Amino acid sequence: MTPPPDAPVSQSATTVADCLIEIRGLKTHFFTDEGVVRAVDGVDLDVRRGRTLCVVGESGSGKSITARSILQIVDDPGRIVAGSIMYRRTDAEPVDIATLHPRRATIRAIRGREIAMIFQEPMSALSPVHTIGNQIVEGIRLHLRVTKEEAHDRAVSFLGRVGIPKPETRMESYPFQLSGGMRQRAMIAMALSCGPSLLIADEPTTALDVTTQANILDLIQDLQAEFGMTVMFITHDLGVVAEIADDVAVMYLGMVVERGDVDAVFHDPKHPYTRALLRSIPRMGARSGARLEAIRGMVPHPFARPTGCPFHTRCQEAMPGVCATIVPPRESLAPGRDVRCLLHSDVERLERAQRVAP
Amino acid sequence: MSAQRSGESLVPPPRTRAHDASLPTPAVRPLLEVRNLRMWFPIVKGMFGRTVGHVKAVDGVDFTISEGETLGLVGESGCGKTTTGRCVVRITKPTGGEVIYHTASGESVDLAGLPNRQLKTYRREIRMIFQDPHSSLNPRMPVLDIVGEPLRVNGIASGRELEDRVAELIGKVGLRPEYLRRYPHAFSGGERQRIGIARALALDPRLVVCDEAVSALDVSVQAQTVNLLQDLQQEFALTYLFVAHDLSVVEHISDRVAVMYVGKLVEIAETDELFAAPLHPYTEALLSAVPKADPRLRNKGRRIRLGGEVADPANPPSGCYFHPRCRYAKDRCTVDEPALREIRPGHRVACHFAEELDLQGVAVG
Repeated sequence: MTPPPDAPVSQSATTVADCLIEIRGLKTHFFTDEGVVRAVDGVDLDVRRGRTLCVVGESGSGKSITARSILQIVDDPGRIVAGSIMYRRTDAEPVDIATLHPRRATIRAIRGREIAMIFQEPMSALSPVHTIGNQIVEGIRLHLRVTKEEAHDRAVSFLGRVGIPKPETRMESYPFQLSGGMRQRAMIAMALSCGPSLLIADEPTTALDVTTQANILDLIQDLQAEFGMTVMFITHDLGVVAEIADDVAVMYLGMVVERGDVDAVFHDPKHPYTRALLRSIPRMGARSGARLEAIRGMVPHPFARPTGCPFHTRCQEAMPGVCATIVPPRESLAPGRDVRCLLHSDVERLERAQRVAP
Repeated sequence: MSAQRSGESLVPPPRTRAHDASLPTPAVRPLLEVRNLRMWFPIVKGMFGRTVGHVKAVDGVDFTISEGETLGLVGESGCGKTTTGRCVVRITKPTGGEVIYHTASGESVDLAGLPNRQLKTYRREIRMIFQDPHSSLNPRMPVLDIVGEPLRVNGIASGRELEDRVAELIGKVGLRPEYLRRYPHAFSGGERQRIGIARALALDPRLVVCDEAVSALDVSVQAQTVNLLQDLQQEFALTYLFVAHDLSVVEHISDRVAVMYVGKLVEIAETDELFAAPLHPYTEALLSAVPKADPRLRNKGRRIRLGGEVADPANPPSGCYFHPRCRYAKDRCTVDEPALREIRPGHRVACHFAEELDLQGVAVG
C-alpha cells in the first residue's frame, strides 16, 4: 500500500485527535408500516480533519442516511437506534451527536454553523419563494452575531467567492432564475457562509453536466484549501472519487465494507464488491469492444436483506455455507484500512464463537 | 419478493446471430439519413399568441446512421440531443429538414413531413427507450399490458398468443416470465429499464433510439444493461441512436459519435478517432472534463475548464456559438459561422481552425 503523493497526514498517525467525526456502530432504521428498513446497519467511519472522505455506494447503500444522521436530519419514520457519532471540536468537549435530540439547541447550533451540507437537487433544497440573498442572510443571521448589513456583505462576498458573476445583482434572484450549475454554487455559498469545519456534500454534482461538474469539483477543492475545511463527499461515481478523495469508504446495504486511502482502494481493493465495482465501470481510452464485467443481480430489496454477509448473493468469491451465515466483522489491515469480508477473517474462530453464543 | 429475485435476472448468454445469413458483412447501407433537421419551438407572448422568437433546439443537424451501427449523440443538457432523438421517432414533428428512412424493402420515406396516419407502419420499426424507468412505465398497468400493448394495438397478437410473446420478450431481457402480472412498483430501477427495453423490442424494430437509457441506473446495473443492449443488437441486428451525456458509456457502446452544441453538430467521427484525436475545441473540453477512475492520473495532463454557461438557444451568440467559451477563439469566430466540413475521411467538424489546432484526446491506456 503506497500512500498517495499528496497525502498530508502520514498513514500510521491516525490518532483520536485526527478525527473530526468518529462513527461507531451507527444504526439508523426506518419503521414503516411494511416493516423495518435497516438503512444504516452498523457503520464505522472516521472523518479525518482537513481531509476529503468519499463515501461510495449504489442507491440503497445507506450513504445518504449516514450523512443525514450526522446532522440529525433523518426524516420520519427513521430513527438512530444504536451507535455513536463523536464530534470532536478543537476548542470544546467532544459531543455524541447520536444522543442529541434533533430539535434541541445543541444540534441546532452545530447544524449549518459547524457542519454544513449541500444536497443533490439545489432546486428542492432552496426555497422557491425567497431570493438567494435572503436565504443566505437568514442562515448567517441565525448563527453569527452580525448586523443586517454585515450579513448582506458577507453573503455577497461568498457568492462572489463561489464564482457567481455579478453577486450583488444575483442576491435578488430567485432560484428558478439561475441555471443548475449556478444554483449549486449558490447552495455551496450558503453552506460555507458560516465557516463550517465540516462540509457534507451529498451527490452535489450528479445532476450536472460533466463540464459543470468539473468546475464544481475544482471549486470545492479550492475552498477546502482556503478555509481548511474537512469534506465528506457522497457519490456513486468512482471517477469523481478518484479525482478528489483522500480517504474512501465503500458502502453496501447499510455497512461500510471497505475503508482506506484512495490509492489503496483503487489499486489494491480487498473486498470483492469494491473489486467488482471497479471492473464494471467503462473506462475512457480503454475501448476494446469487450463486454463490461457486470456484477450479477441487483441490489436486494430493503425488506429482503440477505443473511450473513449482505453481498454474498452477488459475490463471485462467496464461500458456500459460510458467507450466508456469518456477518463479517471489521478486520483491520492497517491503520485507517479495514474490510468486512470473511476472506480476510479467521472463519474457524468466528464459527466457533457463533456456536458458543448463537 | 425474495432476496433471490436479484440473483436470477442475469444477462442472457450471447446467442448466435439470428440474421447471420442475411448479414454477411457489417452493413454499409444507410438506414436513416437526417438532413438539415430543424426543430424551432416558438416563443409566444400576449393573449393572441404572437410569436416573438424561436428556441432553436435543433438547428440544421445532418447525420447518417448505417444499418447495424450505433451512433452516439452527446452534448451538455440543453444542446438538443434529446429533441433530435424525439424528431427521429416523430414524437415531435420537426419544423424543417428531412428524416429519410430506408425500409427493409429498399424504399426511402421522409418521416419529417409525413402525417400521423401514414406514420403508423414506420412507428413499428423505429422505437424508443426512455431515460427514467420510473416515469416511462404506467404504474397502473401490469408488465403484460405494458409490453403487450404495442402488439395488441398493431393487431399482431392477442389472448394466449400475446401472453406467450410477452413472456418470451421479457425472457430475452433477462426477467422471469412469472413477473408478467406484476406492476412496475414491484421492480427495481434496472428491472424497470429492462421492461422498457422489452416494450421497445416488442414490434421487432430496426432502429431503436436510446435516450439516456442507462443514465439513471446504478453503476453495477448500468454495466448489465449496456451488455444487454449490445447482446440484443447482435441478436436482432438492431441499429441504435444512443443519446447520452456519459462519455465513457458512449465510447464503450458507439461505432461513431456525434457531438452537439446549442442545436448544431460540431463534430462527428468514428469513436476511436473522436476520442483519441478530437478536432473541435468543445469536444476536447468535454473529454477533459470526464473524471478518470484512477487516483494516480490526478493532475496529469492538461485540464480544460469551460467557463460560462451553455449559450441560450433562443438568443445564440454571433458567429461560432461556442466562441464565448472557447480558449482558441479568434476574431473570425465572433462573426463567421463555421460550416460542418469533412477534414479527414469520415471525420466532420465545424471549426474554422480545425487544421491548425493541436487538441488533446483521451490517452489510450
